[in-house]
Amino acid sequence: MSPNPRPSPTRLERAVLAMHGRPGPGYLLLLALCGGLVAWGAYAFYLLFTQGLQLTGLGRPVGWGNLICNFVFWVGIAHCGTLISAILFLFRARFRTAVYRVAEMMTVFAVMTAGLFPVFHLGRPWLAYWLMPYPNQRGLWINFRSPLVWDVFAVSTYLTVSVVFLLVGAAPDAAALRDATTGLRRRLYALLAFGWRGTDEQWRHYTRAYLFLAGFATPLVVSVHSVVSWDFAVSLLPGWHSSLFPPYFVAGAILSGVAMVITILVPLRRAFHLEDIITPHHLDMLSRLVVLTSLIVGYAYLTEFGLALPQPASDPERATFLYRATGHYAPFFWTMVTCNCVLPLLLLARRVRRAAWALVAVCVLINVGMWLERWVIIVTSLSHDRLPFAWRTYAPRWPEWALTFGALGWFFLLFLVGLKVLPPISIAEMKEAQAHAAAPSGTGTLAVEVSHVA
Amino acid sequence: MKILALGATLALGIGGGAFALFGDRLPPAPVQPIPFSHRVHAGALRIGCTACHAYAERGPVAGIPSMARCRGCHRFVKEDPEHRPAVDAELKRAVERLRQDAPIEWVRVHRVPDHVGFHHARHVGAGVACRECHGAVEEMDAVRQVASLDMGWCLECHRREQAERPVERARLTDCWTCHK
Amino acid sequence: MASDPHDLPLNRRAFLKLAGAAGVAAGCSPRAATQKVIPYVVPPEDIVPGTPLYYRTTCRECPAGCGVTARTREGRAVKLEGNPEDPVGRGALCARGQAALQALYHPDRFIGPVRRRGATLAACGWEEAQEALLAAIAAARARGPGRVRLLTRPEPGTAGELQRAFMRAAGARPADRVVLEPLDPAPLRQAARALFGRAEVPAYDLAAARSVVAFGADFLETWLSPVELTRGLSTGRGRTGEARTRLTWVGPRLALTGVSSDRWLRARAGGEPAVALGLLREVLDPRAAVAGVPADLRALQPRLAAVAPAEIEAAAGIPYAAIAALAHELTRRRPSALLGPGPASQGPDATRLAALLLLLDLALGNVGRTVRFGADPGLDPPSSAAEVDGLLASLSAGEVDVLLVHHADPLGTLPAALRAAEALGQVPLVASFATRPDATTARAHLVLPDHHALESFGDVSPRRGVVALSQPVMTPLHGTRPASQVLLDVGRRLPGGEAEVPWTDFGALVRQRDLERAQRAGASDAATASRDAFQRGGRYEAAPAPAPVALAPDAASAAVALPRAAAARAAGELDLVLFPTVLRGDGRSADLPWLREIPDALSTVSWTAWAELSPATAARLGVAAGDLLALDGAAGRVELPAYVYPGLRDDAVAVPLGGAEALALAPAARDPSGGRVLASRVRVARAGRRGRLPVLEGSPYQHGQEIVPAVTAAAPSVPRPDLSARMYPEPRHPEHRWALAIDLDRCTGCEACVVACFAENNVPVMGPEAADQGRYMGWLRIERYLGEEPGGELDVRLLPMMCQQCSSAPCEPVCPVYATYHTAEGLSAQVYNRCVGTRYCSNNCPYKVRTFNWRDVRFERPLDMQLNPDVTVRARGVMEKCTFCVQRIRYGEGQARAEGRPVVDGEIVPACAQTCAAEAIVFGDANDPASRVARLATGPRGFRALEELGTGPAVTYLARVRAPEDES
Repeated sequence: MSPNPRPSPTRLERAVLAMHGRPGPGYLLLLALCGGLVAWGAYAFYLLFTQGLQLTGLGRPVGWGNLICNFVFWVGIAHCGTLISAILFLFRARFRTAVYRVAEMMTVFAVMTAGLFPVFHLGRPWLAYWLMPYPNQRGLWINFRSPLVWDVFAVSTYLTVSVVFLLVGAAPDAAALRDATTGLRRRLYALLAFGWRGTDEQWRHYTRAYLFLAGFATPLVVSVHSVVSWDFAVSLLPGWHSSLFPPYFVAGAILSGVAMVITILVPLRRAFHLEDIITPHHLDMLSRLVVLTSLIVGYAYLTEFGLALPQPASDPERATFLYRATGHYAPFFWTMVTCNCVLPLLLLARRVRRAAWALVAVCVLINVGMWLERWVIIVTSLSHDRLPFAWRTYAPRWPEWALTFGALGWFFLLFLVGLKVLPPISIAEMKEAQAHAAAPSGTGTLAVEVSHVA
Repeated sequence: MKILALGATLALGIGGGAFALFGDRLPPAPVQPIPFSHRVHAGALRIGCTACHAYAERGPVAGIPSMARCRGCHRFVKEDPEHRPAVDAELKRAVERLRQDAPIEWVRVHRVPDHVGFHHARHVGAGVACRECHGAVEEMDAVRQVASLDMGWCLECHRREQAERPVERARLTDCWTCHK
Repeated sequence: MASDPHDLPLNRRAFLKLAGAAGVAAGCSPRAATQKVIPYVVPPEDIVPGTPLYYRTTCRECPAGCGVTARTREGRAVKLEGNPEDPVGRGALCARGQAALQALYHPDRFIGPVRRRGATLAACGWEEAQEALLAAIAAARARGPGRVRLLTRPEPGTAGELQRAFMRAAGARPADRVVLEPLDPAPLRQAARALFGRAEVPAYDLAAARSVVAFGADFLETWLSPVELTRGLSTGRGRTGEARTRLTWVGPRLALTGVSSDRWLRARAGGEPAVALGLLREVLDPRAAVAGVPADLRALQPRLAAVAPAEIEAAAGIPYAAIAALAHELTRRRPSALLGPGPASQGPDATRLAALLLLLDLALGNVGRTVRFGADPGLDPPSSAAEVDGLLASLSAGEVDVLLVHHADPLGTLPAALRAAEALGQVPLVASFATRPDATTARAHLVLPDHHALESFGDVSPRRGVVALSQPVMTPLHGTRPASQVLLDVGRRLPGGEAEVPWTDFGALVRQRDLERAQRAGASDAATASRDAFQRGGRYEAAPAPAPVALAPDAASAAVALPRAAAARAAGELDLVLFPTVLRGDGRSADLPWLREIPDALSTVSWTAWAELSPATAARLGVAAGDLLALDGAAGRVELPAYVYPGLRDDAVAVPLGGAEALALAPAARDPSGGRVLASRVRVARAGRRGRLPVLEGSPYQHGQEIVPAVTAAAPSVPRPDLSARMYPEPRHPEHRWALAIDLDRCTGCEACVVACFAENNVPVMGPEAADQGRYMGWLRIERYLGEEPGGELDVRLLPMMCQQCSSAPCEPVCPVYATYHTAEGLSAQVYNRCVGTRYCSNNCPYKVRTFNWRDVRFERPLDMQLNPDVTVRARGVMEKCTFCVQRIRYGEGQARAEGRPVVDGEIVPACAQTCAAEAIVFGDANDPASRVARLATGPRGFRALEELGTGPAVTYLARVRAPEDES
């Protein structure tokens, strides 16, 4: 693989501090835009809360629509954060160092977004807490057979772990910033630094802990979206009831997640002139990940149809998949196929992988495709269940769109704020990486110590 | 930092304590249009509950005594000289009120939510004494709610009864036994 | 609107009634801060708060006069059910009978007399109203006879007697009282008079008929006495082979009644007489060798033989072979019954059709067996169309000063082409007794609102030997007054009125008349006998022996002629078929929320009228379902959304009766014998715009799945999937396993069960927008499949679909909060106040029978007084569904426990099963092998919906029996 970049430590710190400097007009504009979207979504939820789901386009048989689709989508986005930071860490994939902090922030914020939707879509959202197991005078308990309860646990666990992972990973950087800042910010970083002083002992514990957390987070990457996929897989609907779902959903999640990372990284490195820190090499590596997962997703699509179509004509499974490909929602289906299976193949060409903006375009479209994938899965199966008499189509109404885009705004709002709080690039690990490269024979820990002394 | 933590703990402590003390306290006895006294009727005079709440053994609803039933006695009991004049005056006023043909609009004391199908006769038939739920009304002037009447409270008894005869009373903890 | 639903004193009275039920939850108000408990002043001795109290009375929604058992709670009627002792309805009610309850609580009801002030009707006191009426009538009377007219519905009882007396007092001639029955089978009565000298409608005993042929007579929906006729047909259904009653439907459109038929002869509109003629030709043919044909009838044979089959084919619009095949069946399967004409076949030759059908019945020996004369009491026969038109003529001519309208809505039920509105415009005083606004009250000068039937005394005699009695089941809701009482009061005060109207109180008069009946019947204690009769709901004697009939030869030979050849069809013209539907009826109850909300069984359309086209015609005109069609009718242009229906001839367009649209299209014509003609031709074109057409159906085709299988005598059983391989054990139901068996061979899709379900379970009415979005809240729907694939052979199959109460219910495990769970009695319970509204259960339900509360529902006063206190009114954001009427199960179990005995099979009956005239729905305990439901469910025709999924439904359907031609 190509050699790692070697910017001078001073350059690195300067870069990060520059990011934390006074926000520019562009930043403020983005902030305002996201804030507006959030306000719009909040208004929509207020209406849903007070007037009920009559404002949505939902009905019978389509009881789930945009809202659940958003939930699955954002949980998916949340995926690659842990993948990059944990799994690639365990695999010692060096290229991750420059990008994992962004990925981890993304994970946390995406889960924070996803977690909202199960509440939004409830008929009586003020009772959402009933989905939590807690002792009550009624002596009632939750139904552990229900995938929705599994979701509650999967998502909350994932949130906890990824937050811890993020904060622990960021402690040394926070310490560095604590020493570099004053006033309120200094206080904040003091809090985030958990009293980090950078002694050898701390470093030893730190690396152990980090390694442990990485190992702990890794299975979650697989479990969370598998659990989410069970919302559909354990049901009875043709097009949902399929053992293929867990791997299929995980692959899709990673695809959309990595795509989102790239979508964020490219403008970021441009805006803050990090080209020499986040290099084309990093993007190249991520793009390869995109191609790989997109191929897996494409394979999943093929399998679904391959299993359904040979069935007898009367088989509802077959009917459902034919309906997806040819029925009322066919345009969405084919857009989804194009975005998720065809466009990513462009990234096989090195030229595209290296052309930052082409890369972003593809990645944005991939996420459009991934959103559509969830939408197509949810809506087509529901609108076309077994009893033809009960068939009916669904079209979202504005509050559902408001919440969809509001969520987008919410996610980027969090991200923009996050940028100003945490260094989007791990100073410590970058240094480590450099030192590591300087002393190839040394172990990670040693190298860290060396770099720290330096 | 420490201050923050301390504050949080204190807030929790105080809040929790307050809830424990006053959180689920039952409402006081409401002010009724006329100062009818259960202590006098059920206590001193030993009038049985179903003498006035006529349907308690026959139907889902115990029933509020009709004006006719009140008049039935108060046609004769018009005054109460041997007690305090205040009581006597009250009684006279009440009897006067009974002469009108308009019903007395009592303020409701006991109520279960609309999604609960409570059946008095079933409970009386099962040997539940009135006071188990309504308290010692014969000692109250104005009746007040003594039991929370919430689901947990119902279940306490239902579970206890069920534990005695699990098979026959299997339904006692089935949702649809009470919920409708 | 004149009425104000928030009128205080009345609602207060209502409130006092409610108050007795202090502890009972009536409706579902959120927890109130302080509630008042208001005791009775004097307790009604027969009311125990919280327990139902039943009263017997009579349904007045149509002339059939079915008996009613009204369930009241705390003094208000909450549910209507049939009267099992009444020989007409035998405990069942039709959809409109069930819905009559909503007319009682209709928010638009007049709450007191109103008088026209300029454009509006303003409230006025009863004194003022009656004085005004009295003065007007007295003045009119002074001006000579005929200045006062009365237009009334049939009143075959004391009310009719009083009306006649009143009219005499008002100086009117007998003819000045006109009886209006919009869907009256006048042609039948006419034909009977011509042929047999008896101007009456025969009673049909379909239970005794082996074959039934309906010529546009929708006897399972509105024709004559639908509940009774439905039961009659159903007794011969639910079996395979020869023993099963065969039904043939003749007409251009396959009506809902036709859906129950085994054979459909697609005769062109107006071709029915030709079909009948062809049948008679074949039946009288010597080769058919039909025994016992009267000589006079036999004598017609040569003339019939002279008619060439080709002519008949041309006139009928169907191959002669089909007619011959039917004739062959009728000669083989005797006795049979030929019914008609109905509104859908009420063409210019309707009377001839009726005559031919009666001749066929005579030839086949049905008369006296399945077709019985002498049962029609003929007490108050509806006036002929000629008489009605005569009335309108004299109205327009200004010959009338006062027109009294008694439960007859001429403007809302007569063809607009008759210009009834203009006619009424010429009358100085139009006084209506309507209970709620209709087309006529909109032009009336005075409205003296009558009590609702459930608030009044009355008696009607729908047939000889049956006197159906009505009594108030609750104190009147509003400040209304019985119409008969008003006539009585006014009549007495007319000059010399005392002599004609010697009574003072109408209720007393009704009771007096029944007392006399009791005495005539020779009761030792007449008073007790009469009270028993009121408690029973009427006096029921054995049906009189059928009267012998003698054929008038010349009338017979007059009937035997081909109908006039249909005139050549102008370009863009189609035959107009006006058909009644079970929900819309003649339109007088079409404004009831339930009847508007519930989709028509055949088109699944709700909230609007529609125009049906055959797929070919729709394609030719380039219209799709929902496009607006422009129809040029007799009284102008009407725009209706198109509905594409394969059960219609390509040369016809069909529009449902019971609304202004149909009336605007109907012609003003009368047939020679004075009957109303409903058939005509209209020019049809596309209006080029989309209309609103709320339909319940997704796709009307089974798309290769065998969702609703059918059996034949050759293959009498339904193949069942093998479910032996199970991962989990069947859930155990130690005590009971409540189950339903639904016989699709008996089910006619009449939707009485659906209305009953709405009434029993507080199912909310959501309106057309909701219907468009799939938010119809009905717990029970009639699924209707038209065939395999679009364009395939028409094969209509009905499937009443409600919660299947699966033993392994897909909805249960997915609920995160246990709001739905499986009870020990096999019910899939839904606990409303635990539901958080994830809708996962509905998504996962393969039957899609769960309905979600998308918004808060308001039961507008006083509709909320109809709410069943034993059923929670569901809040917004909560899932709900059929519970097998768990409140009735609990009640039945409670009764049994109180009496220390086990539950008896058949004592617990859900609302749907209770009102099923065809007895297609049977409820019971599947654990008890002796129970009816268990025996039915294990029969060969049994199948379960989507059984292969292994959900283990508690509902077993019994497959519809298909009887191919060769079996006939």
